[in-house]
Amino acid sequence: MKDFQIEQESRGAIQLIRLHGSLDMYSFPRLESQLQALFQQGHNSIMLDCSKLDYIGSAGLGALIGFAKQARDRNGDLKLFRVPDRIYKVIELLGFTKVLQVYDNEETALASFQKP
Amino acid sequence: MNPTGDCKEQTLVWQRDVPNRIEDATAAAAAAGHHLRRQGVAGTAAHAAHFAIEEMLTNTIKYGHPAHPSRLSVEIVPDSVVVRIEDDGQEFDPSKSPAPPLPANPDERAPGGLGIHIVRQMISSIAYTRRDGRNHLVLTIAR
Repeated sequence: MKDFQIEQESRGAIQLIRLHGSLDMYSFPRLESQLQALFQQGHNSIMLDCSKLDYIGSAGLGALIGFAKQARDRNGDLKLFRVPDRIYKVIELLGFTKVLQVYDNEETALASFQKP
Repeated sequence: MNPTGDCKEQTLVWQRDVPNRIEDATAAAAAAGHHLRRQGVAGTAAHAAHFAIEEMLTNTIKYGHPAHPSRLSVEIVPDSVVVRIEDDGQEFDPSKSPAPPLPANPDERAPGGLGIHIVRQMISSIAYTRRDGRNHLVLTIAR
């Protein structure tokens, strides 16, 4: 089992976070802390690279939905890209694709922030 | 906490005892998912099993307060994966847990408390019995 890891980069005003490993009940507080710190620094536009994400549980899903709402409340957004099929199917099954915007790749996710 | 594999005719059973800590529950769920993928179970079914095991074990720890480790076993049969969880926590039947209200607009959904409801949507069946002061849960996931 891979440990959960978070890498952060900037793409101009957009913060890019790459998730590695398993986002479960034990690891999701680390992502919560990182996203909360970004909001406190005024970074409200965030995209998550999920290509190396092995697993997401209900706690991780709940955290992502909560942060997407918080980002929108602050005139930003939280978007996902390169979501593995097995994880996308969970998001889709629950109807959360209307809350969590999912893109094919980094370029399309980044471009979506530029649209009015 | 080493897994013990027990090969039967056309089945493969993997089992372990899970201490009552969240980190042990999440590790056991991840190990079960890894075992299933290693045995050739499709990613979606392995992910559903991982999700269901994590949800059920952590719920038991947080709300059932078992005195002893839970017993987890995963069996691969031709058409499905069968997960069995046994614990001595408070009686709780997740198959009868009422679904939380889901507003028409998904934007208004609060995900907290949805875990068991999500599991029921992801798996084929859920069966519960209470015997000898223990909860016995059987989850079946289509392969």
